[in-house]
Amino acid sequence: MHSIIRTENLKYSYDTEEAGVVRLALDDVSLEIERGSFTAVLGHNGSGKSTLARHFNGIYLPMGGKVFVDGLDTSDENNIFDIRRKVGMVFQNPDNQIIASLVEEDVAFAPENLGLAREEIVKRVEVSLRSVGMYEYRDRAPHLLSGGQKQRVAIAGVLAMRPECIVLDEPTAMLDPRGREEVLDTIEALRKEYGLTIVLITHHMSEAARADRIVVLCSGKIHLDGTPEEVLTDIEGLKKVGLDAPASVRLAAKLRALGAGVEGFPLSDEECVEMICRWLDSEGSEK
Amino acid sequence: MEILRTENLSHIYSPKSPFEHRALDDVSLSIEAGTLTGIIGRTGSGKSTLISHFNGLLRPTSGKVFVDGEDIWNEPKKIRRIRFKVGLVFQFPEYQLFEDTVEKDIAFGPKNMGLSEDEVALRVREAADTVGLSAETLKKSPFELSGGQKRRVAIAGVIAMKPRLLILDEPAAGLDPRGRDEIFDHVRAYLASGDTAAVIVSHSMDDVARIADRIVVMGDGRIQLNGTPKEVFSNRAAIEDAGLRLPFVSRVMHMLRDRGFDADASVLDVESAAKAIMKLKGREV
Amino acid sequence: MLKDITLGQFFPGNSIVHRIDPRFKLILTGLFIAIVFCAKTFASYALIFGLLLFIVLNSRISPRLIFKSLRAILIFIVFTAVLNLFFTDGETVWFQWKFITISREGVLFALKMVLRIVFLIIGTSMLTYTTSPIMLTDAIELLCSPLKKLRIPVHELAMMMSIALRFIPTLIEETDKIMSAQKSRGADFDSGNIVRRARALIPLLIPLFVSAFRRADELATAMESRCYRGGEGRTRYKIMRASARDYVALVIFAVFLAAVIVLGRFGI
Repeated sequence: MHSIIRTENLKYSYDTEEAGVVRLALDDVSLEIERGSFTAVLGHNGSGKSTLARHFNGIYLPMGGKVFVDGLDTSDENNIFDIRRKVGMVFQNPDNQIIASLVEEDVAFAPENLGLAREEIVKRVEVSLRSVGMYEYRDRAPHLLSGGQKQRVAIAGVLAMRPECIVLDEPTAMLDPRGREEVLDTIEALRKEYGLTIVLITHHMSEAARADRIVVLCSGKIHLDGTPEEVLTDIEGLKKVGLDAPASVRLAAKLRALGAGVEGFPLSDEECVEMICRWLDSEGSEK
Repeated sequence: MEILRTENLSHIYSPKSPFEHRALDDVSLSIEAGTLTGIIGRTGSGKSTLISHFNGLLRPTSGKVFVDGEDIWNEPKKIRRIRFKVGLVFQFPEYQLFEDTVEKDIAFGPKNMGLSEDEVALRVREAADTVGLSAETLKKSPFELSGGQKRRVAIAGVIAMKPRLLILDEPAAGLDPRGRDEIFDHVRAYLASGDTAAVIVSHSMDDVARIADRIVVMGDGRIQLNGTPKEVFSNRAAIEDAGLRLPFVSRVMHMLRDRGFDADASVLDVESAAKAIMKLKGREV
Repeated sequence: MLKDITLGQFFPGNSIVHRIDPRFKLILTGLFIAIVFCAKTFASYALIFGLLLFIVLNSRISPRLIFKSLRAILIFIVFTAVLNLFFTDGETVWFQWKFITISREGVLFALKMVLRIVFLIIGTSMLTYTTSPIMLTDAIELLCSPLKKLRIPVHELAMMMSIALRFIPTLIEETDKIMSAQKSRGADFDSGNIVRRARALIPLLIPLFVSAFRRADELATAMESRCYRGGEGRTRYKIMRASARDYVALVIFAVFLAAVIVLGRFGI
């Protein structure tokens, strides 16, 4: 089975030739996203991560190299409609992606564009709203909802296309901690229930830690690529691209530097406490 | 020396209507020169309403606000004066930029103060220095800068008024860790003179823990906790009641205490947490 | 407060007024405007008032809200009143000073003009208050579909209107925020002469435009990402089906129109 998204030596630049120096926002990026996987793309602002995301449904077209979605070349105009149906995109600012003044009408927007029969649209609106936990809000005005709720409506609006993959471009950047949790929990639930492929663009370590693969971008190039255990514990590698390893990883490293016999790199609070307790309770304890 | 004080400050939105909402309830606090105060609380806890009282954008329903010992509503017609003494930087301040060069945009505040041209120019340069904007950037249009740089321009625009108290609402929202650290460094740099103070409003305990001298925890329009970071983060119950999450190291230390270890829950950073844990094993570092 | 502006906003609900077929609502609004313009006498105005009261009460929209929306255009109403009051010639002169005359006719005419504006505002507001912009768009598109033959881009125009309505609350909120931000930098929006005040708006308007363009750009991208490609091949989530109630409403409005015309003829 081929992967859902594949980029081959992808290059992109915002500069025009006339400006002289052409700085590449994406520089020779080759990447495959497996079906059903949850990939986090991590990087600081300006690393090219949003630019990359926008190639996944043909908003941007490669200046060099190719992008394939489910085997379809994004630079072929005839494929665009199918590509956008397969890869849904959720953006940073919830206010700027809600089209309607009523939650259910907004969710219906994509199925309407797809030209589906009315019964099918009704069904999809209900299922999509229920799967993000916003069904009770179907007859509310979106601008009166909280940030997290708006973002869940935006996710429902994309789900209603029945995509195979959802790409979320910093969906939590404008939310408070509670809204952030709502959105992340929704993403995880969707993945578990529907086996959707998820690509999450973020600069938060804690969000990336929830994925099963992390790709770190810096200056338009892939710097690290691996499981959260591999990437997030690479303190030096992360530092090079201007990111801090999670505090739990840094704590473990610090303890080892001080001579403690703690083992492993914990990614959650519980794992971290567990690790410390194991060492404290081990031989030679003077508790 | 005290710069700002509120006394029994309360604010009610849409009073005597079905939408009546008590956003602030009997808030008394004081901000000393040279300090950085972190105000934390959930959305709707009243923290934004509170800071809008500090520079007179909102008028208290009851209670008083004093800046440099003077009741700011003594002469309501002169409230603009207070805005130069208490500089407020809103969330996503880059959306307020409007001039065709960075230089002019930063000069907007000082010009409104009625300062001489030389003084304005001097202040623009100083403010640009404080936030690390180069002379070259000053000549550019603010609209061609990156998001992080735009935010620095917006902050410089307020710093250029040389406010006694600099307030920033979620200054790190949407920035990556490096951008966030830089902004916090600039705020610290502004405090270096000693006769100014700063307030940072944030959702993030981890951010505030690292930089603040004092922390005020808001919840339901009231002050839930007010003290040094060490004092505040030792009080897990009150923090959780306010719907907030402790910083990572405090969480771990509190969990170790739950397990029966005598862990020091007042540590604030990874380094001192590691040392405190070594101590538990009987090893001094 | 800017937040009090409710013009063009939509308040979801399930009242009789909300449930009237949007196409009929559009036609009814048209009829209502005709009724107001045909009304000449105070008896007709009383009839219109009764009709409006009936609609407002049945819409379950808070009358407070309606007063608020009027307050937002108070200046306009006062301006109209003053203009008509001072510059209408009449026979029964009550007061005269230089070129200003206040006559009995002037007072009555001013009163009628004010009532007319208030009726029009409330009447048309009821349309937008109780109809979601998307439904309104669909209704306009359906009603105007014959114009498509003349190559008029009906769908596009209707979609633009719907989005404009959707963004009114967002932009009002944004205006409030930018205003606070500029006030915090010492901007003074409330003093000085007209020229000064107009200049003072620059720091408010430029960021607002910049932000509106940014929003438009992001919205367009979001719409395309959700497979939008114009009106062709689009289906609809909500179908409009006219019911007996809608026809009854149409008849009632037609009767009102006839009534005000007749009343006008007889000068009652």
